[in-house]
Amino acid sequence: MLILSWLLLLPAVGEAVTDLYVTEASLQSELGVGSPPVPSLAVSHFQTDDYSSPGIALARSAEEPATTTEEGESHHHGGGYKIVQWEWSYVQTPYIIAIWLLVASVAKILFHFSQRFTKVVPESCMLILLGLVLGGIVLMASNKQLYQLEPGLFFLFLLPTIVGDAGYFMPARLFFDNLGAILLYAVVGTLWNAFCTGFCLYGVKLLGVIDEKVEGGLMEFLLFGALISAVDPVAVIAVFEEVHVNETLFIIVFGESLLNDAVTVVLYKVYISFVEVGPGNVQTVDYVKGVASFLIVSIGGTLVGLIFAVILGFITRFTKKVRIIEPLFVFLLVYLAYLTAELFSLSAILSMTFCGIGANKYVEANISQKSRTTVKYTMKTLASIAETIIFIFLGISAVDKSKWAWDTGLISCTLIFIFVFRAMGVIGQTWVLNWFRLVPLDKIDQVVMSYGGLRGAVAFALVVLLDGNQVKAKDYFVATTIIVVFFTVMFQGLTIKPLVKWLKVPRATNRKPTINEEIHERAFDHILTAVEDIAGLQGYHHWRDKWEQFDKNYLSKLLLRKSVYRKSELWEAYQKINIRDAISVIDQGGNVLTSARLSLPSMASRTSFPEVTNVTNYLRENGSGVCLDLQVIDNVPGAKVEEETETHHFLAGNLYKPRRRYQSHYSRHFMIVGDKERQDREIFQRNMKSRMETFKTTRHKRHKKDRSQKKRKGSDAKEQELNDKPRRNVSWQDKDPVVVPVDAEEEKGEHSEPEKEDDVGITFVARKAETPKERPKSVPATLDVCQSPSVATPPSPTCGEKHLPWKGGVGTLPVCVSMEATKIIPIDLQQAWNQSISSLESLSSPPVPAEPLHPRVSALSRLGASRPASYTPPGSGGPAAASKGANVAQGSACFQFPEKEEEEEAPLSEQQREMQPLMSSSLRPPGPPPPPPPGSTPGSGKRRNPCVYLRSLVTAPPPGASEPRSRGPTQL
Amino acid sequence: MGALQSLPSEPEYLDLAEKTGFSQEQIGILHKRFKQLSHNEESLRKDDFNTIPDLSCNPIRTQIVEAFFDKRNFRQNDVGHVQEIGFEEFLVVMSHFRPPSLNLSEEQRESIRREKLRFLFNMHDTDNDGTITLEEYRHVVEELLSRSGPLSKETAKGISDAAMLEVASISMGHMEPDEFYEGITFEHFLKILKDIEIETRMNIRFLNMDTTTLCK
Repeated sequence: MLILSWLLLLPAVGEAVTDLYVTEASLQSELGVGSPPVPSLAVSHFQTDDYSSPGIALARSAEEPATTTEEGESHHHGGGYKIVQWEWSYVQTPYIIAIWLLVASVAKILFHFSQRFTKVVPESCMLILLGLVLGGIVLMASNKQLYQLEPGLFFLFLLPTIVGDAGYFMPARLFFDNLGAILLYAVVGTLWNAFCTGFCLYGVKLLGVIDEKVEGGLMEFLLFGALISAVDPVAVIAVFEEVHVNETLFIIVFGESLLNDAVTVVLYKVYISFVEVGPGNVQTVDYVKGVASFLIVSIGGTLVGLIFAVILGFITRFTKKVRIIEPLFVFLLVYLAYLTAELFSLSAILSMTFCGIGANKYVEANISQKSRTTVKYTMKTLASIAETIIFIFLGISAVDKSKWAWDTGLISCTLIFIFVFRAMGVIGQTWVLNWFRLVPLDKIDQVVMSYGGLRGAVAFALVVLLDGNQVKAKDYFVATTIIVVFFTVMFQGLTIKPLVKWLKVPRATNRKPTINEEIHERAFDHILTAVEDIAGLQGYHHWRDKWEQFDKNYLSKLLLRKSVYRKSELWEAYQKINIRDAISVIDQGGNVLTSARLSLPSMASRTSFPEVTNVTNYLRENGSGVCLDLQVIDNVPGAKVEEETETHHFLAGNLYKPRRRYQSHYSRHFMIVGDKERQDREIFQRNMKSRMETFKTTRHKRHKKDRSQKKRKGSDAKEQELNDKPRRNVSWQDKDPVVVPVDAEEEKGEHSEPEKEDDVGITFVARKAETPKERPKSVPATLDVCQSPSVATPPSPTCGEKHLPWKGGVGTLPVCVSMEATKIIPIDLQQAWNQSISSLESLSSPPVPAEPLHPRVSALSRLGASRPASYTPPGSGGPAAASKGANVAQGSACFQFPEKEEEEEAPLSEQQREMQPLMSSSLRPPGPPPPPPPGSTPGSGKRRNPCVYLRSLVTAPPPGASEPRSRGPTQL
Repeated sequence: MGALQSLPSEPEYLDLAEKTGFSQEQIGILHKRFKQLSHNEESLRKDDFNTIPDLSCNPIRTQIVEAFFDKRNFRQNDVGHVQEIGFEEFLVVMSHFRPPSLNLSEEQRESIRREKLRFLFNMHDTDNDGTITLEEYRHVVEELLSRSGPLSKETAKGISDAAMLEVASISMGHMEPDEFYEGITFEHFLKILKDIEIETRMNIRFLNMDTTTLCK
């Protein structure tokens, strides 16, 4: 593998190296056209690079004037027009940068060819090794190291991308929950490490363990101690992302590595100034200044970050019309936060981190889903590539003769000291912390924290920045730093995984919280706050709650768009779960369980956040979540990928594309949205349809029996009562005469032959239940319908079967309907839902009551269907029973047909089909259901019947499913 | 610590300390708070809780206050509600939020976990029938969201319904379409929250130091 990457990189490096020194027009045209030959490596005598100069390594080295001319060159075309021109100097800088990025990216690909290998060896190790190899090549080629990790490049470009990513995607809650611990480790821990390491190294030097050649007084060693003691964010991210320790542990180590920047910066600057003026001239005032400087640097940095966070939030509030540049604002302002802090020599890392943490919530809420994805991907991409470049360049930088100022004493002592003091510091601080922590950090945590104290590129960049004239031992320090960085990143990075495994450190789970967990987490917060308030304590929860209120009352108002202002996180979670369910439904082709779990976001929510409902986006989104794991995007677990592709295939194969002409769009400023919504609806309806069909064929059979039996018992008694109170039915029928005419109008065509339809329906029924054909079309008639079967119900099973259509209709068909509807149908979708159900019904199984055609009767059935709960008979004869009876009547009237279909599938189906057109016309359910009655009260509190429960979930159930509402305890 | 003198005698504290696990200092502080809330009465009524200003913006305050008057939370295997609670009951309810001691065996941890979850469960199961029904759950979610404006009502319904279905699917596995999920039983409640480390989460720090004077 390595060889392969070698071969692959060789030309590129060779080219880069060579090209540096070739002036324009100095190259043969073949070089420009064909692939560059390797021989150009022989440019050994061009030693132009002054690599220690600050600046951008690549750009710098590229700009080096190639003063001398090459042997082969000299074809100076005096004049005339050249067909192909070699414009190297023109493209030089970006070209080299691009090549390096390419090298780094290709290297990453190669490393991930072997899963087994990458599991053991962290990527950072591999990158450093690769860097060493590349460095060797360059060194062989040019005899002098051309590239190294330039502090300027590092601090201005590479580090911000990583810190920006880390800050923006920092799990804020976790971070602030552990802020105390993080601050303690970051400030006290770093100070402790810096001083102890510095003093001890000086002591060892005095003892003579360190060679005489390493010149330096106390200040130099303290300076070195300061820069070598800070835990490095880049290294920590690189190593810990692959270890997956539990989140608390991770956030503590990681947070520390970010926040210790202020300490490091201040110590570094203070010591440098001390070294400059000489240790003798340092006065007490200077120490005080140092402390003040620390406060200013850290607090100032944080403030700058927060100010930019507010600006960022505020700006994104108004980007509605320019969605396309939303991500840009995020990058720019976060980066500006960094630069501004640098400008005032405040802690840039702190600034950027807090800008990211602070802005994240508001920005994420304000920008569109696409922008969110863009931001996430771009940040991860940049951070990932920056990290790669950093490690490669660390490796390359090491291969440099000028850095080989080896002193065994210094190196080994440094290694020992930083490790020992880190461990001591962690143990001591944890001991103090555990007095205050509700969840103490145990020994295992401490071991991992000590071992996870990785040093990295920040230390290297800082040491390279030292002025060799003032710090005489600079070369030794640089060499030592390189060794320390390599040791911590490679050795500790390699061994931390087995260590964590061996210690059985609780691992992080990559699991999304379920909606119940979200709800209870929410509840916890409030409960704990309340208990603190009651107990009169002003603890963490108290203040967090205060902050949340402040945020809600002022900050959110200022920084959030109005449309998103009111939305809660729970709502978000709910949306996601909805979508997840929808996906699984689609995925499993309407499997019963999932269909039972289907829920879709309401239309209202769609309009306010249309993007959230995009299935594909969601799948992608779901891959990473908010996490600091740079790898997460390219290392999606296999199962997930499979699942995703499967879903995509399924979607591709089955989804209905809305018939719509594709419109290409040319605008650079806008992207077309809106398709999606339409498509969602299509998906929704299609699914419904297919599932309805499956229900029709399977569901009834399975559950018909017990259900109908159940029903029968109840209905017998009920009907009797019902019969006693026919007047009441009439009276409530009169209450709602309005709907029917509308219906009739709609179906005008069909209505022209009402008799016929009636006949059909009745005939059919009569065959089975011997219902008189000429039933009076009046309210009592309906009652008769329901009554007749019950009266005739004999114990014999066959008879029962006969009547099933009547009774079962109540239980069974609604079940199938409610099965569908079982799921929570968002209020707004319910109409659509009902419509689709009803249309399906009219298509596949004529639900029909023959009677509904008659305006009055249908009015009645309608009432029975949709208003049972509201109907409270004036008399006291048992309202529940009465209304139920009415429902039975309704149910039987509406749904007899499907039952029959089930019972006598073969013979009837033919007939049914023939009848369908007729039936369907008569059967069209009464349009959108009326709003639920305002004063409806639950009938009986107990929900024994599943369909009752299921249906109770549906706000406005389809006609047949309405009965439960009378008893369902919960009215929507 | 001058405040302690006006409080019940030490032996009484010892007794309570044994019962609730609070230290005597903590009991002293809580007692002072109790007196403050009850206006130096022997018992505390719901109205007294309503006077706590910080509590007024807590969306689920009624449930929490209810919990203090719920006999199920008094560790006496009793059910029902009371109108007034004495200091002992106050302490017992509070003790549900006491952080566990550092070294616990697995069983102890589990029992603490159950106890804390039981408290939560009781809080949601308002009619004490052993299940959190959909209606009760909706109520919880509605209250949780009650601060978030007009969207919340229907949203709450949607969320609670979704949550309920989730519980059903988690705890019952594959359900027949006509099966009916009665509500969340305690066992299911344990199941759905098994991934939350409640024994380390549902704690607040009871100070040994007196800070009540800072509160109104």
